[in-house]
Amino acid sequence: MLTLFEQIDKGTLWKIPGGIHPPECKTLSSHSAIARLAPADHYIIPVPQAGDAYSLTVDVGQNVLKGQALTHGEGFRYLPVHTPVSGKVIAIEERPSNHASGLPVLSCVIENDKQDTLVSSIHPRLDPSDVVKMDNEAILSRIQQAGIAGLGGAAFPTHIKLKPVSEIELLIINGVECEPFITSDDRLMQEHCDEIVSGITIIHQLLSPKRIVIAIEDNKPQASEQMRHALNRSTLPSDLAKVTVIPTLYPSGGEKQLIQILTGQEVPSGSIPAQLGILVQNVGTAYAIDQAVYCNMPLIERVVTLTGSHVGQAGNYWLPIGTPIDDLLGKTQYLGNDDDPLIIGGPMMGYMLPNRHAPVLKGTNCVLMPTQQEIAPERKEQPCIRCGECAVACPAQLLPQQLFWHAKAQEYDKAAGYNLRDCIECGCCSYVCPSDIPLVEYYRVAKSALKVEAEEKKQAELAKQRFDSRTLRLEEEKRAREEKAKQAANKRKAAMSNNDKDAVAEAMARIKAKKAATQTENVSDAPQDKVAAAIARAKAKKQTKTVEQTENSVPTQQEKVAAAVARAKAKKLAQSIAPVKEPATETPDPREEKVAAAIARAKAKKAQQTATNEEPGLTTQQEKVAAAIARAKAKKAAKAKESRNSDACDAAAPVLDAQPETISADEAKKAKIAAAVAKAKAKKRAQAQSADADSANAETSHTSALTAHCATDGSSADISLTPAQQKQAKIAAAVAKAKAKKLAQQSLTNQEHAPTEASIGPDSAPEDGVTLADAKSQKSATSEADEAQIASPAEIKKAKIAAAVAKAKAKKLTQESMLTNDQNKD
Amino acid sequence: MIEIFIAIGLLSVLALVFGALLGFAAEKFKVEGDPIVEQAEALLPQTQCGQCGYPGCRPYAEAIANGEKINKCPPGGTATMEKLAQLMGVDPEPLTATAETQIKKVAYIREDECIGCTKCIQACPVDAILGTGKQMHTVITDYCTGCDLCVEPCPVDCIDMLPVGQTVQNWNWKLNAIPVINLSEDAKC
Repeated sequence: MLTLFEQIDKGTLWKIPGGIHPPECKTLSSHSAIARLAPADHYIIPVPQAGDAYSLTVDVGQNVLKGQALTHGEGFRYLPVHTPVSGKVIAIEERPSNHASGLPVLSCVIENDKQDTLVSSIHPRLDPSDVVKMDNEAILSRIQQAGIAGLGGAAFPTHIKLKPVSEIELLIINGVECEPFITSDDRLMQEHCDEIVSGITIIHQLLSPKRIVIAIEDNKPQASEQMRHALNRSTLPSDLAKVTVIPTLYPSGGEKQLIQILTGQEVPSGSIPAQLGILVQNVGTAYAIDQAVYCNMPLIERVVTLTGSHVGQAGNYWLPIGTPIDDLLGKTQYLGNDDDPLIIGGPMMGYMLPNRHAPVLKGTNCVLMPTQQEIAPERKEQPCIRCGECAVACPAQLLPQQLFWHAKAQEYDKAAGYNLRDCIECGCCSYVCPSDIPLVEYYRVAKSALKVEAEEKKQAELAKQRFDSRTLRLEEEKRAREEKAKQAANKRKAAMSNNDKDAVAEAMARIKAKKAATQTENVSDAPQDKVAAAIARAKAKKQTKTVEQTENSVPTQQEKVAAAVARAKAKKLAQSIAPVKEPATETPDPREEKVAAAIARAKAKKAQQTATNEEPGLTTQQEKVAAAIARAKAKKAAKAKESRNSDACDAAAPVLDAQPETISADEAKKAKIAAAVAKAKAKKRAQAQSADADSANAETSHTSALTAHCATDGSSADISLTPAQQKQAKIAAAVAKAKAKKLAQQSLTNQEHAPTEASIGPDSAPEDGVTLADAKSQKSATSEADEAQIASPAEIKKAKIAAAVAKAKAKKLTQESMLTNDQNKD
Repeated sequence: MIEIFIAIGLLSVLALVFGALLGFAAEKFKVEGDPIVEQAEALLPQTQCGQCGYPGCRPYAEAIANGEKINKCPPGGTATMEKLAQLMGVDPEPLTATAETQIKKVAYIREDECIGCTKCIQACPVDAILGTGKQMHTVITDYCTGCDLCVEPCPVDCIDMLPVGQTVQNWNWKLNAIPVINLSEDAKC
């Protein structure tokens, strides 16, 4: 068993299935040497199509030199285009394309100045030793920058082909040129065999294949002879490269068919020859590689066969890429009419040119201008008779009949099932068809439909991906937003439960105090005071409610106690405002009297509201309120007890009376000590701040009240003696509050210590404390008010500020108690 | 008499065995999701346009699996409808949309009129519009599915739905054979 290379060396050839022998008609153009036509006035260079990343480097009106790149691009697949002549860019616009569709594509139009000034990068031919020294990257870069595409017709970028992923063992140089009429490769091989071989040497340097086969059909004996001589002259080892003459058969020049003929191997469906370790390059491409590497000459011209009976001077011409086809016609004595067909490529695989203004492209190897005799009038398509000739002729071993049925019925997926994509569109089936069915055209339609479908599917898939990722993104954004909001809420909550809350309350109190001060200063009109009073009332009420709620929902003793204490504080505070304000009634100013009267009215109203079962016998307002509160409390306690099914409900009332005495004994002493401390403090403060403005006073006085409160400063009796009179009222309010608080605390302690209370019931004790606190605070507040009134009748304003401060305090307490409730609930 | 009990017992045992077997198989080889939904969704054009009345292609695919009509997808056209009919085993029905809406269109923004409000960007289900606040927006036409959803929100009506032009890439071959097949050996060459 011989190895593949031994067989190749022996010259063994394999047969391909199918194939035809169409009339060659090559003699029309093959006898004359490659000529040049007079340069055209304009050249049209289509710039790469959308999808290729590139940018134009020239502008309209810019002068360009021959061989200058018109585009600049990045990426491995990028292939530049060059201007074939020197001159000026006169337009960059859509021009008809050299394509079966004739659709316009973006093109640069170059006006030829006929100077042929070369761009500076093109240099005289290098010595072969210089090229040997070049590394592969430099060579590939030169090939890419020269814009070399496969010149056989497919125009695939050559530098990609020359950088295969797998190792290339066999290099095939395709000089088969099996299509009828075309002789451009034939003439090129005859006239430029040395350059072609030098191009092959460069490919050998790049890929170092084990064998190089130059395949030429046996109808081109001169070409094969010339190539043999050139090979012998070259530096390539004689046992490495050889010229193989293959029998003439259409379509031997197809890449896959040629591989099959030379190696007997079939390129699997959907793969490329490189996967078999084989690379096929056209002879024209080899020539272009030589030019690019040795002279840095870009691919700006190629050999084109102009043939057919309609052309007066049939032959091969060096045509600059971008030459308009209609320009050629005038210079080659075109005999036909404007509506006679022009075919780009050979008769088997070419296409009709829809627009004669289209330019010559890199893949244009032939322009066929046939007469009416050469092409008969279109014959009507007959029904398929199932003769099977097409299947015999097919070189790809497909079933053209089946493909035809499905393509005609537009069942493209079924046609695809018959390996439609392996069809090379060689046209053998159409050629042999006795019914004149244009089979290849059907396949082309089906192929493009499948291509569009595949493209749409791909787009749909991408669209879905984008849609999915967008949906995901939006969801994530939403979640992040919610998370953030939650965090902020938590933070706020945490801040509220910490000391920040105090700060907020303080700030609020300050604002209120200021407002109150300005109010009194400006007009001190009754409605505003009423409002303030109403607010205080509402707050107290609200607190009571909350506390009640807590009591109902959380019936443990401790919580109830705490709630009751809070309630008591708030109530007391509300009341303590009144005594502080009431002194105003006795001031000489009639306006102040009015204000005071309004306040009193408001108080009376409030008392009515809070204490619904008011007793008519009570003389003073304070007494009334206190009585009402006590009553309400007793009632509530009784209720709570009832709900707990306790039988000690009757005992609640006596305890109410009994408790105050015991507490007040302790209370008196403590209050005195605290009062002394407060006095000292107030004095010091007053001295320090005597020069302060009123507003500042309001603030500081509030602070002092706070301090007093914090220090559990309990007494008010001696405060009136301090020289700083303006602070008295305020401090008094704060003190009253503090006292109430302390009392409540004490009563709580008492409750815990007193065994009698435990037997009576858990709810009664705090209520006792509260009642006591209420009574006491009322008393002290009254006394304070009296004192304030005596000492400074002009200081009503200050008293009012104090009232405001007290209000703020009440508010804060409300919040605190609410918080306590919350915590209890938690 | 005993034979009857044996038979009953035997059948009961068999029933239990097979029941257990079936139950096991149902658990072990459980089919996750509805494969018909996946297939229907694969056929839909994924424009996410909502012209079918469902908020996207997947919901419509699910609705089709539940017996919804197959002719409600204008972007898919008749081809999609026929494939869906084949998949669901129902008769093809003419599309609810008119022929005009079946032409593939993509959105274009008249860029000098765009005020940069980003409303179209928010409306685009497939992220095919590029731009940012107070900057000109533009449609990435390759990504545009022609769903129409961006036209409505535009406050200055600067979005046009234009039919996709034919290019060399998407051109469909016409049946215009080159009648050179009559060349015979005796023709003048």
